[in-house]
Amino acid sequence: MILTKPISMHCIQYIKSAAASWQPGLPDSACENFQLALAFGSPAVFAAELDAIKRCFPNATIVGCSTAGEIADTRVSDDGLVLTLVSFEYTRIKSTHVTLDDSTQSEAVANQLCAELIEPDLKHIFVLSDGLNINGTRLASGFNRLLPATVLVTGGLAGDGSRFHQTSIFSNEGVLERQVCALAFYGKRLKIGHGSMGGWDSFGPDRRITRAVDNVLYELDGQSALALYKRYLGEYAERLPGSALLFPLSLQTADSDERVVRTVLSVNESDQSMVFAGDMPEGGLAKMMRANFDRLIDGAAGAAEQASVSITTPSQLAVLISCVGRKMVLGQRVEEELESVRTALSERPTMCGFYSYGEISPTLDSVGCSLHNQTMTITTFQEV
Amino acid sequence: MHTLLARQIRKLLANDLTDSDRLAPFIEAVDLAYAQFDEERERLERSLDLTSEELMKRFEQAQKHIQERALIEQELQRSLTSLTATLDAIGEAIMVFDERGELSLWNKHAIELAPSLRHLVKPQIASVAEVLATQIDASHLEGFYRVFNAENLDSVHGVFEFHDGSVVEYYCLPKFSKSALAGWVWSFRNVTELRKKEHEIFKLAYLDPLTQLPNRRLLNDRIEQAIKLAEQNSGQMAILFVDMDGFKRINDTLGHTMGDVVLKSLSERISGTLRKVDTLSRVGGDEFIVLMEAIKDQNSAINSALKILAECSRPISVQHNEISLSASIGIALYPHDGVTGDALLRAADLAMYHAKQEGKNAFKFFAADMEKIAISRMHIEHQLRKALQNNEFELHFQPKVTLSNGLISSCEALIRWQGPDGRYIPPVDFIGVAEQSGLIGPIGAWVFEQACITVATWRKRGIESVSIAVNLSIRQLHDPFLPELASSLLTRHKIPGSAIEVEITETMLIEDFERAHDTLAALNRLGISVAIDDFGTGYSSLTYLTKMPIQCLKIDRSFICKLETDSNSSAIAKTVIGLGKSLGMSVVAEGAESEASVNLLKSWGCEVVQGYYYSKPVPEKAMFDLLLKQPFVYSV
Repeated sequence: MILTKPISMHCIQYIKSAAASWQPGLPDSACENFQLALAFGSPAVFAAELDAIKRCFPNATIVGCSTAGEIADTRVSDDGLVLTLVSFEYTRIKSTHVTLDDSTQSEAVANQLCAELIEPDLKHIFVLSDGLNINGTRLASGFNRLLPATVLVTGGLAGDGSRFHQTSIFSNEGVLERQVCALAFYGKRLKIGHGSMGGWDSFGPDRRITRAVDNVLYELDGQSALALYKRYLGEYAERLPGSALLFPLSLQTADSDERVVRTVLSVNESDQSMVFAGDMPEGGLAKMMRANFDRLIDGAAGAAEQASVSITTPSQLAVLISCVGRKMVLGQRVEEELESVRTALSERPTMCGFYSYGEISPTLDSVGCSLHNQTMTITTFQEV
Repeated sequence: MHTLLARQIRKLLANDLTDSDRLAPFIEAVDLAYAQFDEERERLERSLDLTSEELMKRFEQAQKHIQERALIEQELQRSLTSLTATLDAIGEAIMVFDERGELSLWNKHAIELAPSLRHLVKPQIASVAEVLATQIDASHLEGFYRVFNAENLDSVHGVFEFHDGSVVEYYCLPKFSKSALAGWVWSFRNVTELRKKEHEIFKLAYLDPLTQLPNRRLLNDRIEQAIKLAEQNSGQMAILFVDMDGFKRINDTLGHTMGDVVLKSLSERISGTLRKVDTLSRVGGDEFIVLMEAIKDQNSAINSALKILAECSRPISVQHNEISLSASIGIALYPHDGVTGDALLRAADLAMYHAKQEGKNAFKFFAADMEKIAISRMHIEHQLRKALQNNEFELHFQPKVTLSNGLISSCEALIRWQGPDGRYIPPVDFIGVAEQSGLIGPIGAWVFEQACITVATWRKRGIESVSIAVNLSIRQLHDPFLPELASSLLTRHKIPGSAIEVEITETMLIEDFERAHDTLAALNRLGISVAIDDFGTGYSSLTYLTKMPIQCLKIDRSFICKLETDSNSSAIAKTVIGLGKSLGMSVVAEGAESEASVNLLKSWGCEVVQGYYYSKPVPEKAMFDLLLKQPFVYSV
């Protein structure tokens, strides 16, 4: 006889588009069994709906952020709000956030968050950060320094469409600017899976980073990096910095064989610099990358497969954080990557998430988390 | 709307459907998709164009680099060839090591120096230890490594002594690439022959060839250094001037070869008495100088001097001959007796002179009055030279009277020096100086000639039976030309040899027996007779008396003046008179002052008497008067 275990963890999703009302409608009476509300979407919509959400789900810790597109199941929408409620049987959660004064303090921010969240049964940290004022590399290394190897960190950088103007973090307190928020999961019965994959093709010559300070890049091979980008973008140069996402950089640092992908967060015409989501160390090799639709979609499926490896039975929740660059390139075909994720994850898990300005996840081979760009990064949750 | 989509709609859809509101979102989406694909394609094409353009440019650059590189390689090869040729042309072994101490370049002389290099093939590496391991001791290599390990950026040079005895000089220069240390260049030169020659040159320049002791030049050098050191440390030092007594006799009697053997033996003996830090130098024939540095007090010098005297007076056996010698030592102390090398050497020399003067086989410390005496001697010497030029000498004469008839048989010529102030300077004050300075030669010759002139004058004036006796100095006696001089003077002044006598002292005979014998025999052959002066005071030896061509003995005045009071003196006088008789020689008693003594002498058979009893020495004119007035009448 086979004993089927009852599913302890439970998810419900509510979607609010810009023009229409909640689908399905929010419950009339307060639902007290949900501990977590993940909210991804428009800051305006979130601000308008916050009271209703709190009323309906009084026990829920609200965590979310602005996006470059919010994901619900296999659909992507803009300027709306996707609210995913989660109830845990065995798992305890706690969230906190820290104000970001300056990007150079990214590592200190991670330290502060860890200090508040570390407890003996800490299982996982899900982090959502301001997307424009953060040095994601430093943030990740801050976590790596303090957290035990058994605690993984996943998450992403908030988005602002393709505008790159202002990102925000959502919490029970409302819409917050220049914040980094961390959500901690405690308990032994929560299983977490993670996966992250790009699928971009690199092309053209390797270019040496000849002048850069932290995550600000000035020159490649002694030439202005911004000028190079403008040449390649042609008429799209007018749409910088968003259009720079069409050509992410594959980066190999001088002391590592591994290549990471970096995208541009902003450009500064006055000193011809480009600000990237992570460090651009001098002496490293950078190679331009371009999209290949099929491989992007395969990459998303690959990330989903990685996220399933550590979970024995299908998970109950999958949080998808995909890069805004993928969305820009895939255009109308963007949902194909969500479909490929769904296929890989099975019908079971509730899928939510957003298009981001950067993803945080452990790489497969290394200990600790790091910043990714241009990837589909998936975190799966399952209580056993 | 996308042109393709517009055409497709126009062609494939009914007109009424085109405007349908229901189709509008669909058509819009398709239109967007067409546009998106176009954009994507354009972007791709653009990137491909740019990339290929970039890659072409890089390719061209790479081609250019390759060409430049080929040129540089050619140039490098040429440089290397000329470098190799240059290195081989240099007469030194060159090894170039990189900053890790590994050999990177070497020339053919390096292979000659270290044959192990012959089998070394680039890029095989060799540390300097490997290169020279079979040639030198490991301890040398430690020095090598110190250079490498100490980040020493100065050049280093030194000398390796190879197992085969060759001496190799090395220079090590660091080389720099920009300002960073890029390795070391070692050059090696075999200086074995050079060193040998240098050593030979050093020996020739600084060592006495006979004894291999430092010569005067090296000694001076050591003295200068010692003085500097003593100045710094307020130390004391001593200079011992060692002069062998009568060494000339060894050379004269045994020959120079034997003399050299004796000198070598002496140098070893003296060396043996010294401390390791002392310097023994041979500065002249039989002159040695000892430099004693850092002495505590003068006792150290005394001890050394005593040891040296003892060693020198131990008999030396040379070819079955036992030779007995002695030394005289003068000691000068720094800083007491002088603060320069010259002053110290002069002081030691003076002290040695005094040691000799005072009887030899002794040491003497320098004293300030020695300097005064030396100065006075120099003054006298100067005056003597002037006196010779100015004819300030004159002869006085003292008659020798034959007791049997009261006639003057002969008279002794005695030199008198009337200084410019008219004062007579006694011979005792200047004869010594004249002997030391060599002036005795010309003075003696002057006396000899003056005697000849005087005798010739007397003969012309009718006094024919009187001869004049001339005192010979030791120098004159040893002068091989004396008989020649005598002969020419006799001829020049037309007098027979019998008109001249020579007087010599006993000690002069002992000094160089054979030569004295030859000279005297030659004088005898000229008719000149020989008298021994001051007889009885020296080392009278019957052997000498019988072998020497001597015709007369003169009993020393010290016996004659005490004849009446001292029985010993009278016994000696009597004996000498007897001896002269039995040897067939005439005997002259010198210094007779009283009638009693003359009577005694006569009673013992003495034939001739000289003394104040008859006359003190008188000038030539007075003497001539005496000759005219003779015979002496005395009452017996």
